[in-house]
Amino acid sequence: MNNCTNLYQRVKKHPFKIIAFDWDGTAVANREVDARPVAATLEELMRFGVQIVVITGTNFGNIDRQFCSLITGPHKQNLYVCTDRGSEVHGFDEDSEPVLLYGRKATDEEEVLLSKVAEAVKSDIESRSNVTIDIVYKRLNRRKIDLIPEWENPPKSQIGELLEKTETRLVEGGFSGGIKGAFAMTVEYSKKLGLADARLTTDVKHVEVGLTDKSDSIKWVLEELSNKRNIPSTDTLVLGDEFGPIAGFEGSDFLTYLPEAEGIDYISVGKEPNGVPEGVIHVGGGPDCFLRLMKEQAKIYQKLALTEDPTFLLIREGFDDIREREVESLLTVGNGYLGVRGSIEERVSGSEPATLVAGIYDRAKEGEIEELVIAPDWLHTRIFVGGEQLHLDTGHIVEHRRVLDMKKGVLRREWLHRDESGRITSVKFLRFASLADPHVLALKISITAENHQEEIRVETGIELCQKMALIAIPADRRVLEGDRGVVAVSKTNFSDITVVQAQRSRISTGIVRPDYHTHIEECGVGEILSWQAEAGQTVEIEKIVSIYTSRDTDDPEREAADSLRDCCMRGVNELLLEHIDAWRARWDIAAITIEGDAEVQSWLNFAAYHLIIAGNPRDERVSISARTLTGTIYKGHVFWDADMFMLPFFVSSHPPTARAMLMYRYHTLPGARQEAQDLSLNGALYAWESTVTGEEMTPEFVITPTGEVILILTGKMEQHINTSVSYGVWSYWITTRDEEFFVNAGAEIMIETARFWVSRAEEKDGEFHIYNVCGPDEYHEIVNDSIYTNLKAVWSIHRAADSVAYLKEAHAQKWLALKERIDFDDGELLEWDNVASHMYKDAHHGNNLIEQFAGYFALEDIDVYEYEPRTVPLDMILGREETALTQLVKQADVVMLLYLLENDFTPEAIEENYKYYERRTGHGSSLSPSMYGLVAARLGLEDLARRYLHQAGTIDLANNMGNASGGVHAAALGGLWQQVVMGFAGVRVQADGIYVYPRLLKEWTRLGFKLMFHGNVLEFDVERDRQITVVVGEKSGASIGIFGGSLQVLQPGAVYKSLWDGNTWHEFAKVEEGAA
Amino acid sequence: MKNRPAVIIPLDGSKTATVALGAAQAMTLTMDAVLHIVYVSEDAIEEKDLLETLKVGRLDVKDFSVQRITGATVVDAILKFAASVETEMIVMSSHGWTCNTERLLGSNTMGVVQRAIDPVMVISPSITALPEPDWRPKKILVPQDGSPTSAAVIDRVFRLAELMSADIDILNIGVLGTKPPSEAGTITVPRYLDYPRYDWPAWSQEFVERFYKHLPPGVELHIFEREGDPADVMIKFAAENGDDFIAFGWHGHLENDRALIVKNLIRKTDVPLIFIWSR
Repeated sequence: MNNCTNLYQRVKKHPFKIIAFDWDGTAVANREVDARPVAATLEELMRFGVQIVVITGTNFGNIDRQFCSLITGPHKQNLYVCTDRGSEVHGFDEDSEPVLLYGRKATDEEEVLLSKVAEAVKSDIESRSNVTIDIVYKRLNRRKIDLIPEWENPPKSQIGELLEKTETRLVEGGFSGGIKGAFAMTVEYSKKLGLADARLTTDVKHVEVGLTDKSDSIKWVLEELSNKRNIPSTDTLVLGDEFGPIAGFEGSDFLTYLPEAEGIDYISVGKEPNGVPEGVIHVGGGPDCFLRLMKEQAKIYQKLALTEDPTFLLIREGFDDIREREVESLLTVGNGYLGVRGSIEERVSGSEPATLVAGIYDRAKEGEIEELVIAPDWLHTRIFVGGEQLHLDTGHIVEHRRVLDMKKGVLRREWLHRDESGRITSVKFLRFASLADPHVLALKISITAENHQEEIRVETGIELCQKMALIAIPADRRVLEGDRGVVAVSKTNFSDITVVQAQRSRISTGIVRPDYHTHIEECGVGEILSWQAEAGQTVEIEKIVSIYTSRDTDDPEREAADSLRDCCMRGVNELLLEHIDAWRARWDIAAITIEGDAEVQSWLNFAAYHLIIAGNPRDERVSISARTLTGTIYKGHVFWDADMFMLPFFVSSHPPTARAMLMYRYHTLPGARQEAQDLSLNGALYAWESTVTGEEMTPEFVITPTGEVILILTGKMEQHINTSVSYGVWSYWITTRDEEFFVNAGAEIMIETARFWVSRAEEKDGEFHIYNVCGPDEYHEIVNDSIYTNLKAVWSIHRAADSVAYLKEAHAQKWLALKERIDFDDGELLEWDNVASHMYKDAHHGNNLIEQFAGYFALEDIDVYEYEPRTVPLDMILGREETALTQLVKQADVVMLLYLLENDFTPEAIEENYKYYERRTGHGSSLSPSMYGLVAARLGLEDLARRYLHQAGTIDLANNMGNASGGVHAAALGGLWQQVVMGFAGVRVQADGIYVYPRLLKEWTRLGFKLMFHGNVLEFDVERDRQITVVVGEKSGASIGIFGGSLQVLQPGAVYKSLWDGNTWHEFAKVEEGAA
Repeated sequence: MKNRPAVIIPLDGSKTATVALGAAQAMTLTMDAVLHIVYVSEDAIEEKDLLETLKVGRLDVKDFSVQRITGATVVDAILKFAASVETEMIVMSSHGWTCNTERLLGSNTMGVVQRAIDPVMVISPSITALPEPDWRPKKILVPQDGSPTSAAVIDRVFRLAELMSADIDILNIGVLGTKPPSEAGTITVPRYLDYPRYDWPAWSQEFVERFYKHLPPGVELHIFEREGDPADVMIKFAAENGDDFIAFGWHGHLENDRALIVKNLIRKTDVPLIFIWSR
């Protein structure tokens, strides 16, 4: 197969706005073939707004019959047919009826002259030879002199044979001049008989003399389609099959080649035996190739278009300043390296714009805790019409909507505004933070003067002086080389990090040539573009910003400038396509599909989107803050949220991000060791709130709205974070088998966190206890023997022992090196075993219930259902101190254990404990509902599972919460994912394989998801109460089983099914062999 | 005088109605306004006898007028007059002539609070310390549920606070047996406090940003949170925190089982109430 799309790479990268092409031989082999395949693709392009232009020598009827009649609908107005060798242009009205847009009509005198020229040639040739010549009169504005009448309608594929036969016929018939002689004779007679500006062509069979040719068609395209709509010539693609010479004559498409119109791409799909003119790209392949090229274009437009699936769209209509901060959080775009809140470009009251770069922390004052810094605002853009700024606060908002396309990571804003002078201007913005290159940000601004001809001025720059909590301080501002683009440099104060943002904007050049200049002010740098608008004319501005920091490179200024230059060469569209491809790859694994519940589907898409933009696989010095990079209220601190709630999503959908998050824990191990040492304990204790070094960043007190000063004990007491880190490491290890990570980093974390617990436990009466801690339930802050902490500590010690054993066996040399480095004595293993074996595990109540901590059951009992409904959290109704005296639980605590350490409990114990604690939990944390929903789903408690799913799904998306303004609740989003995959699908990832046991909600007909396991992709498709289909990736086999049964070894590439018999799931049976 | 801020006190000649006179004068003096005493009656009373008829004793305000209006119902006349001047506030006793304390409000007061678009201060005769002309409110208690509707009155409260140089206590009340408002844009007390040290300040800031961004300079705003029966909580809070009156937004409907909190408040309050109509 011809690789024409590879020969012309730009067709895969650049969306052309005008595609003009020859019909016969280019788009179709001949006028008899079925044109439906090519018509379908061209029609799709028309739907995307591409101007499709057929340039042909034949008449409209022929093209209409074969092509145009196949198309109907409003998009047909984007179709133009230039016929009769430049004599006519046909368009279509809104009813898809043809309309003559341009027509050249020969005068009577010209008609006579055309006939005279043709007849003179005929007469001259026939008089000199015995060759007979025909004349075709019935052609618009031209005459065809037929040099070989006996061969009717030769196909283009036989051009070589035709040439030979025509030439032979003429020469052997006595006309020695042949085709060239006939052509020259026609030129002579035209001049002689007074036909001014005669247009002559030949297709070897004919010599045609006329008043127009295809150059008139292409000129019409440039004037009427390009210039009047300000479409740059670089957005025009012209295709033909005969640009090069044939038998010494210019090819029929050569006349569409206009070198003076710089920027047009010319492509030949013809054979072109004699080569093509310079400037034309020859790809060959004929109509097949033409179709492939068009399909590539359609593919581009599909990528660039707004996603059709509404569950991937987060739409905010209108504008409400009181909700703006909340909206900004939800509409954040990002890529893990940075996040850009969905703020309005020109700034409005109530807005809190922020670009947050992961890892850029600073302190407001010496001695204060570190917090995430807000980088200079690169979005800042102001649009002036006739000198007056367009603003949402003035004039009338005709339309305003923002749409976050979560499938493609693109935020669009459409704004139609009537200003106080009645001028209507349409403004469209499109922004993204590239997932393909995290240092690249782009903003597209499209402005249409709907009803005026005012001067439009756009000021777009980087705002350095922001009235925000903690910002990077302005350090330098400059114009880039050649006075094109600007650069802003800012610095953090105590952490001494340099942030460089380089910007360049340009108008996609059409006939509008804007005034351009840069400007530097005390508080920013920017570019100003201005032009005189025409009513109905659209001008597009592309702004690209490259951002580097001194954390990324020694020379962030050079990197930013180099990156910007490279990006500008490629243009926003190409960057956007790469970005969308990167998103597609992520969604390919991360997407969960639910049939039968669009609302839950949209929540899951929202959750996965925000998790994807939070994680950075490229930087193992950062993890994910509780509010990600969408807001600053948690100061960018990393909590157990990252390891317990978000990490599982990445472990299963994007292991490189999970690895980076865990490597962050490895790099902060020194800080954790120091923390343990400060407590005179062994091993390592991770900070409850962590930034760069692992130093504890939890503030020591808070002042509530009532003025009450509350001491914050979590930093000291919630030591269970250690088990979150080790649980994360172990989960990643058993899921990925990433030896390199585990041997060089993971095992060390396992050992050091275990060492902490061993030294932390205190022996009393033959049992080990952990005193003075706080479990996940923060309503009870200083407790003894938090069962969550104790059991997770035991688990942690056991897994650390497993790690040591594994290293000894599989990586003896590495183990010896590590052992020496961490000063490990084999005797420690005995101590570990002693502590783990004798840890207080609370089995003293004579039933299945486990006590959340020592003395919990003695507290005043409470039933949260008796306090429903209520307008505030239950602990506020009871009071803080009173709450601590009751059994009211803030969030999943024991119930977390029922999920995380499920194998340690009998099914009866799980159900009994769940039901006990469920009635005593106030869900005062966003981390809670998903965990309760997960365990309920596993237990088959459908109503509870559904209720908690809805509660978790609406934490950020509900209309009446307002607590997303400081950023999205990422743990809740991760929890939502876990509830569906681990809960409803019943997935249990264990060291030896994966178990599943789906229990779908009754309104769900189907649940589909993919998991990465040991580097392989496993695809699950669950049909409720019917079957589970598993497609095992080609890379390796996988051990998968029905929970409660045994693991089965499934072969790579094969398809297996498990059937539901009305009571339980059956073993998997192979239904399709693998490719191997 | 017409363009000056105006305080209106409707009187009907009853002793009960005059319990609001001290507060009306205090508001007039505080706001540097004109006091309009409105008397709606068909009785032919000479102008010189009006103050005596209305049982108005000594007046501390210098700029005042007495308006005797005839030919209209009492409520219509009061509201029509209020619309004709720059009314900042209408001050009324909760009851008038009939003084039927079986009813929450006298019929005229009821009519005015339900229909007035200006703030209406209602003084119950049972208030322990009835405001005197030298009363200078320093703190205004404003209950809020975070809904845009309840916040819609806040600009009027700001205006009063600015005129009085008073501070504002915002009180969020957690209520059992009631669901949070479902109105879009409502910001209830945060349901989830993952990390209270950050959530509380952030919520407070968001609350202020949303609803109090037009706070006048010099007026201080404090946010509080209490739980319990709303009326009881408000009354208790005002007593404990020295709030001079309670200002709240409402929809103007007191019939049947509507506005239960407001009714309870009227019954139990020991400080003046300001009704601010919120449509």
